[in-house]
Amino acid sequence: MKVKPQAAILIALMIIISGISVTSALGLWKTTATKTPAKLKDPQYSEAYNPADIRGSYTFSDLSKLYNIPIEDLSAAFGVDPAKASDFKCKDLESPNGSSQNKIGLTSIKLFVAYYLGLPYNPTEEIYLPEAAAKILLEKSSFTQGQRDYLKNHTIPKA
Amino acid sequence: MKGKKKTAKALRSIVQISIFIIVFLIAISKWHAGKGISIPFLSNASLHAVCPFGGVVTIYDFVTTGTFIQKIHNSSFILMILGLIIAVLFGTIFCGYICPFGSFQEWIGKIGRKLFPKKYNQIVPTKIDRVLRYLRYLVLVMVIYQTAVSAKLVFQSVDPYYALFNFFTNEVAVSAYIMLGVIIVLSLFIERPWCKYLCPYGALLGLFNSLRIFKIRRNKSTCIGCKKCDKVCPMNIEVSGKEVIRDHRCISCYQCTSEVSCPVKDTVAITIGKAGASHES
Repeated sequence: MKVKPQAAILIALMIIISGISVTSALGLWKTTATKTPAKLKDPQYSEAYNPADIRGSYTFSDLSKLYNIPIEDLSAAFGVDPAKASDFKCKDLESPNGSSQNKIGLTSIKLFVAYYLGLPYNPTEEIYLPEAAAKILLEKSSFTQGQRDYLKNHTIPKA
Repeated sequence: MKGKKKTAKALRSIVQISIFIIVFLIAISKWHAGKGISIPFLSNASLHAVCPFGGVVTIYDFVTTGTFIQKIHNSSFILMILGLIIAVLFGTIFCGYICPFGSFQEWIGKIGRKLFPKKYNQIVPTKIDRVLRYLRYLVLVMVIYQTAVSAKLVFQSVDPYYALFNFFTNEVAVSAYIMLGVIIVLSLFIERPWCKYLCPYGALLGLFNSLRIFKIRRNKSTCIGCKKCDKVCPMNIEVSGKEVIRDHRCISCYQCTSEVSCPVKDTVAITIGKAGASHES
C-alpha cells in the first residue's frame, strides 16, 4: 500500500488532534499544574501531600492552604513582603540565570515545607535555605541530628 | 505531475507555517496571561506543556514518584505518547513537518542557500559528519540522566527552541540565547544543524525510522540514477544508494519522494510492507 506525503502528514495531524480531543473530553489534558500535589506513597504519611510535587506556579496562599503552614511563616522565611505574600509564586524566587549567589529557589521551599511538617523529602542536590527560614524551622520543628547538621551547613546568612 | 508536486510542497509549507504561528501565539498568550490578559481560544499553556520531549524527560520521575518534574504537565506526557504512535507509523514526520524549530532552521537555511549556493550543506566533511551525527544520542542520555537526578528541566537552560519562542520574556537563560545564536549562524551553512547534531528528541524519534510501518522505499528497477533524491535530502542521506530508508538521520520531510522531487513516478514512495515502490531484497 502506498501513502502520499500529504496523506501521511494529515494522518499524523489527525492523531494529534484526536488525541488532544479525547484526552480533553476525559479530563486528562492539563496544560497547567493542578493545585493539588500528589500524595506521599509512604503509608505512614498517606494523607500528606508530597513536598516534592510543589510547583513553581503555586502561590504562598496555595501552600498555606495545602500544607497548613501559616502564610506569615512562609513570607518571613523567604523574605517576601507580607502584603504581597498571598499572590507570591514559588517560581518567583528563581531567575533563569540563577547564579551561585542566588541559591534559594523552588527546592528551598520544598525542603522548608518538608522540614516544617516533618515529612520525608530526599534532596537530589544541595539545597540552601535563608537564615530566617532556618531560624523558623529550628524554633517550630523537631529535627534529627542529621537534619540539624544539614541545616547548619546549608543556611545562607542574611546579607 | 508538476502541479501535484507543487501541492505537496505547498502543503508542507502551510503545515510548517501554521504550527510555527500556533506555537508563537501560545508563547505570547502565556506571557500575557501573567499580566491578566489572555488571547481567545488559546489556553494559558506554557511551551513546555505543548512539547512532547517534556514527557520523555519526566518518565523517570513519573515511574519512581508518580509526579512530573518541574514545569511539565499531563499534556506533555500525552503528546509524548501521541508522538510515539506517529513515530511507529511514519518515523520522524514530527521533525520534518511539525517541529517549529526545525522549520525555523530550514527558513534560515534558505538564506544560506542563496548566499552560498555551492557550499551550502556541504561544508562538513562526510567522515566528521558521520561521527557528529551520534552526538545527539549523547545529548539525549545526558538530558534524561541529569533530569532524573535533579528533577528539574535542566535542558531549558540550553534549549534554543525555548529561547526562540520566549526571547521577549525574562525566562530565558543566557546560555540558551547563546545556543540559539550559534544555531542561527550555523543554519546559514548547514541545513538544520540542531536537528543533525544536537536534538535529543530527534535522536529518539530517529530510532523509529528502522521500525516505522510506512517506510520510504526506492524502487531500484525504475530508478534512473539521477540522484535528485540525494540532492534534495536536507540530512545528506544517500537515498539513491538504498532501497529502504531506515537511516536514523532521516527527518521524513519526504522531499526525496516521487510526489515531491523524484522525476519518476512511484520510484521513491512511502509504502507499507513490501508492496509498492520497492522490491526489498
